[in-house]
Amino acid sequence: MSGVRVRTRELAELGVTLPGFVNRGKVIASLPSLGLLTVAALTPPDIDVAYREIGETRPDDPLERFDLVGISSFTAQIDEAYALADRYRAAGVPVVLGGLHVSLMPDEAAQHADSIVLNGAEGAWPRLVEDFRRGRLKPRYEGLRSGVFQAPNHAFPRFDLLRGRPYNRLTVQTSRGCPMDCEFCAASIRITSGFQQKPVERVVAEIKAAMAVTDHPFLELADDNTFVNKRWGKEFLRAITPLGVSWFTETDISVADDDELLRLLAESGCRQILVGLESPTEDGLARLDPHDWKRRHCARYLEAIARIQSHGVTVNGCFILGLDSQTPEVFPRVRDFVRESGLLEVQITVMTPFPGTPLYRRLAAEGRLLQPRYWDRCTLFDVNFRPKHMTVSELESGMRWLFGEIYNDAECARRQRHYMELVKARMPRDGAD
Amino acid sequence: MNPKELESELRALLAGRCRLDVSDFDPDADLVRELGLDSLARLRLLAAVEHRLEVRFEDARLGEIRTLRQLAGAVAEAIKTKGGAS
Ligand code: B12
Repeated sequence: MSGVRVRTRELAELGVTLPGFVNRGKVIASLPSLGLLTVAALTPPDIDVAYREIGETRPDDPLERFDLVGISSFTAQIDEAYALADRYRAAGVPVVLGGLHVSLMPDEAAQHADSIVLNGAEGAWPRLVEDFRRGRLKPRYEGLRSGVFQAPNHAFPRFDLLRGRPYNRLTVQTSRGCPMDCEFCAASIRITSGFQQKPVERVVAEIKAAMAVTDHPFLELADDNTFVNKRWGKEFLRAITPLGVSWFTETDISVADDDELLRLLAESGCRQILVGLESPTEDGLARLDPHDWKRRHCARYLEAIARIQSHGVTVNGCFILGLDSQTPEVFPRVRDFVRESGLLEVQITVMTPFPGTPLYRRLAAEGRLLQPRYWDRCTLFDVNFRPKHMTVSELESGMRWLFGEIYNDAECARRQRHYMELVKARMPRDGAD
Repeated sequence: MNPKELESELRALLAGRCRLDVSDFDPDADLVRELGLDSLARLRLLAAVEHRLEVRFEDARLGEIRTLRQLAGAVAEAIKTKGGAS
């Protein structure tokens, strides 16, 4: 479905006809792997490195020759990664598996690899390469969980490997982790031991390098929560403003509290922030994060969205369906909230117990997982568990209903008009922005 | 405003929003896919055109304006519905 992964057939079919959904799909299909560019950067300079996308190798194509193959992993596509690893190993080429899924499911991954790397490649890959050169590859390496952005561990991603490839968007990472620690989170918090942030001058240098390799770049920060530290945030925004980039990131709703930050955000070329609102009502947010932070901030959602968007930065509001405290009432409530809020973009996903997360462990203990192994259905759109206050089919059909309500032509046009009016309200007479 | 003037006005508004030289590109080139605007930049261009030329596109048509020629057509139509102010 234009880049977005989903297994449930009805949703896949519905998705292709919904303009609001397809747009995001096109974006999603066009980002390179920052994890692999980082691994390449950690490779000693006397070794030649080649970057490949898994889609470039079909199962019946002859294998390209390499001395060592490293494969990155997210859960949804892990079976394809394992199949490629098995092919290379059968051909006598050693394979190393790393990345999020491998870090969360090391024993499973080890069955398809000569060696696995847990956590960040920083602190592990240089050792691994030296061992490999000496013919002493070990089955498992532990990368760093902290200090990844400090010398000498930090690696400057090899954006140059992307030259000539057709990416219109690139990622740069400014931080790992997030103090929120939501139960369901399957992002970088699982491979770090606390919130870590890169020095501003290093981020600026990386952005410049990323911009140098592509024609019309749009930048996505590969962060979980960029503006945890508002002081760092302002320094960062002032530093990137002169670069003239258009960019997007993920953060929490508290950016709305700081008008100076919002002004700097807009001036720096930030076009959109993605915010995990998760549920439109307080009761839907109970016990989501250990500090109940999201529940406590829910009452201000509408006002905060309006304030952020009034600065010309749009909000992509994300909602999770199937949370334990939600009943079927959540579906119309999300629709009403979306209409009232004027959110320019909306992302509706289903609660997903990614293996290795606290949510996965809890649902497994409660006997609520629908199948023991469902990794290819970890798409954020397929239901893999028994919800607490509705049936599986109520959740599936409620989500489909909501998709139809939110991503249809008329609603997309309404959101686009809202954005254009916000932009116009900030324009001087000559139409510059 | 005649069609030639309108086109050069629109080209001027587009200049600076994309990195290509706007003087000689194809009016049928897709603003997003070929001229490198992102989807929000396309909307900002439409907003700028509305603001500058004091017109308002029909909401239902916003998604269809994907090339400079379609933009010019939409402006002409919006001027007509507005009551012939040209
Ligand atoms: C950019 C991004 C994408 C890009 C990915 C581009 C790419 N090829 O990598 C695109 C848009 C394609 C994408 C697609 C999807 N994504 Co996505 N995406 C992200 C995002 C925003 C940032 C990831 C990132 O770049 N991190 C920075 C890099 C540096 O970190 P890293 O990959 O972990 O790499 C480090 C280590 O893991 C390790 N490492 C990684 N690879 C390797 C390899 C080797 C050999 C070694 C030694 C080490 C190593 O070293 C690296 C440096 O320290 C995260 C959310 C977030 N904020 O983190 C979601 C996220 C990764 N995506 C997610 C999901 C669910 C999806 C989709 C299923 C969505 C969909 N329905 O289509 C698809 C699936 C894609 C797939 N291949 O399976 C989930 C994945 C959860 C999980 N545990 O699998 C995340 C965490 C978001 C979330 N909602 O939870 N995504």
